[in-house]
Amino acid sequence: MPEEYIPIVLILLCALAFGMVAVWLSRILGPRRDYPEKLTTYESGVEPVRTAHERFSVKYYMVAVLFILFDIEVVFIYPWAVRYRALGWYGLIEMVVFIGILLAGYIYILKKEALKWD
Amino acid sequence: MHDILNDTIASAPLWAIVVTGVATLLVHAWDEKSDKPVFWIALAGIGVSAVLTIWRAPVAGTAYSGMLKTGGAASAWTLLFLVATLLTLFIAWDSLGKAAAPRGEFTILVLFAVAGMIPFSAGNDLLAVFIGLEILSVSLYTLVGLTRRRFASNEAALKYFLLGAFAGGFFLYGIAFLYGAAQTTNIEDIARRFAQSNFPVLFLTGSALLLVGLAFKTGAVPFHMWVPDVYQGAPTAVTTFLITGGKAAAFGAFVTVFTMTLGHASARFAVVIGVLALCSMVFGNIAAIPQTDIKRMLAYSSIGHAGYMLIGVQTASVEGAGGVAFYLLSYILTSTGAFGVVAAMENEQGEGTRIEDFAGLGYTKPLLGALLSLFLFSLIGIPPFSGFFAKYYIFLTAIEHGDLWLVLIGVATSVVSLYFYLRVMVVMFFRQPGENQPVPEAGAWTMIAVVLSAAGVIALGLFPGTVLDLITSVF
Amino acid sequence: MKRKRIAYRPVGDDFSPMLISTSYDMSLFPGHTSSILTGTTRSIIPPARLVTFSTLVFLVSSATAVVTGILVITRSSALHSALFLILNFLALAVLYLSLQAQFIAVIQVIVYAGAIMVLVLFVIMLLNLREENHRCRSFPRRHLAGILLGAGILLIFVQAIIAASVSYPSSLARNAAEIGTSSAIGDLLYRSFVFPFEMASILLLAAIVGAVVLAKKRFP
Repeated sequence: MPEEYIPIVLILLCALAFGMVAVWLSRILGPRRDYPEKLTTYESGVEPVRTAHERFSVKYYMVAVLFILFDIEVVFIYPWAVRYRALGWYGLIEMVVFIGILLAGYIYILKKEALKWD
Repeated sequence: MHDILNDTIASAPLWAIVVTGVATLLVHAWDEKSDKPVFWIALAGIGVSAVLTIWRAPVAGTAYSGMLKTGGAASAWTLLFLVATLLTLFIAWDSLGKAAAPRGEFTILVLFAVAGMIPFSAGNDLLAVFIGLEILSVSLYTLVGLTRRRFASNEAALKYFLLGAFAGGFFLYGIAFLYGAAQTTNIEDIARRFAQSNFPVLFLTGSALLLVGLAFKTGAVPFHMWVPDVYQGAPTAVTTFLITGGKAAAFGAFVTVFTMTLGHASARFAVVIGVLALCSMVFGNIAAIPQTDIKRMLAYSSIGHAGYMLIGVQTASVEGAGGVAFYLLSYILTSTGAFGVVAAMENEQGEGTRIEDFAGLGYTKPLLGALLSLFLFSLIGIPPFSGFFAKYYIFLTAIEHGDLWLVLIGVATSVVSLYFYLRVMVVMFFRQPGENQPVPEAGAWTMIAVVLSAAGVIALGLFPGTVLDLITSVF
Repeated sequence: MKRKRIAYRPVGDDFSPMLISTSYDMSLFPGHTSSILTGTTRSIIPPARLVTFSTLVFLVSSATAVVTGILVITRSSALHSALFLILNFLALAVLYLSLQAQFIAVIQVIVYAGAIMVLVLFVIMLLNLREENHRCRSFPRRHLAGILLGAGILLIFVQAIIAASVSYPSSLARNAAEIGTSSAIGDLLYRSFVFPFEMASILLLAAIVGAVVLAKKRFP
């Protein structure tokens, strides 16, 4: 029943409150000596010239979409790991076949240099 | 352990395709230029799978705790997919080579698509059917966008993806409703509980949603919006695969899930499917008339053909199912042939598919012209070609089930279709070719596919009864 | 200070305040459509527990889901839509939890609200979408048709669910506690549902090839 999750909700609320309070406190307590140089955005010493609404390269998309695919693979592994002992050899072979097939995909990605950052 | 071995043997045709797909992927990963080995491995895999299918055909049963049907009707569908895939690969070899599209990836994705078609059409559990649908769809979305530099290809892929995902959502929602009603995803159990239920609102809602998802895949009106743009925009080899394998898989699933198993549902939905059939026949055949591009024209005509097949589906009978399978076999052969000729006419940029580009083809390339005419005659349904018997059997079954109204409309729309099919022939034989119109060169593989298709169309026309009996016997 | 706003900041910074502010908005429309839905569950939950904590959780999360769902499709900025979609996914996760489907709830958060929404945001940044063109604000007729169609389908669904919950009151919620855990799902997935599980690897493989073919920067 949902009552069991009250502690989790409390933790979430605490985390949220802590984050907000920390930001708020630092704004209130911290000394503010602003000068134009300091107000510029920190960009590793590089002069920030463009807007934040910049186009991402398709490379990011490539990485993100491949990440999701392997993320879903992990989702399948989780209930398997929970029942690993009960499933025995049978379960192990199943998972080896599953991961083996996806390994072929991983090899394909590597060989096609889809993750190469050029 | 013993069970899983038996199940794997029973579903060997599917695993043969899966192994071939993964093998081609690895070979292609290792050597980017390895189009040729990939092609040959794929051909071998399809051959092995076909042999295994025929070997398993007499033993009808289920595998993996009732997830997948094996043998029997499942074998018939699988063979249809394999025929379609084989002929498509032949055409693609030349056509994609001309367009400089990645043939290796095409082959890999086509094999994956077949691996999806088999559970889609032979699933005995809605989850197996759905995962088959998704594998098929994901492969097809990618295939449609294969020629990345062509704008039409990109547009087609995006449209197909958006609408296909939407239709997939309807299908999944239907599964959820049916699960809620029957508390199982096994189709046979659902059908049993449906028949026993005295209050089947949930069942009906679920079945209606499944119907929407399936009708989308078959391209029946009013779920046809994607068909013209996708069929026209996709590379011609991919269009061939969509119109043959894609359609066969959709109708396979329609018949297996809806008609044969959820019989109780299809009896209630017979009128709905009948109306879909009517709209598809009328709209497809009329909308094909003003088209100037032959790919688009054939796309609209495929909507009409989906309508004819739906007549067989709505009878919800073994004869109807056999008739649909026979129609599909005929349609696969005819469409591959017609699209093989279209693929030969295309240039490197995928242009040359306007009907006026076919002017004088009957003189400049008499063989291609004659073969295309043969396929168009078969599409109209003129004896002695296979298309005639395909329509004939479906109409006959419908009349026996008392659906004369659909048959009358079917015949009337067939007469309408005469106009746009014959127009192509008129252009081919009675119009002079343009000044600088290039003379098409059909590649060797394309010619093999086209001639094989033509032989099939004629053979089916000569021995229709034998083939139909063979097909009906497995249902 | 103004300059700081325009300049680049890590995307994560902007997330949390947005989420909080919208959850306050929810209270403005309590029970907007959830009243229909509560009607359906009333027969599943025993009457004595109607105003318990679980009912409250259900009311809040379903109202959040409905309102954020509407906001997702009505915002003109794609980025705002995406943020509301995250909130929508979170509300759904809470609904799954209240239905005892713990595993699905966790997956909903990890895969949907987490990974997939990151991808959605990537795509929005990739396409460089700005505020949607304001030309089509004049409420075209096809929107009306869409709304009517959607309302019709909703009506059918709701009617079907209500009818079902009346005809077999307890069957829908039966065994809910046992079938929602990871270990129960593991038992099902790796015993009777082996086939869809193994096919899922083919699906992922096809998607991998598709992603590389369609999105790789340089492809032969």
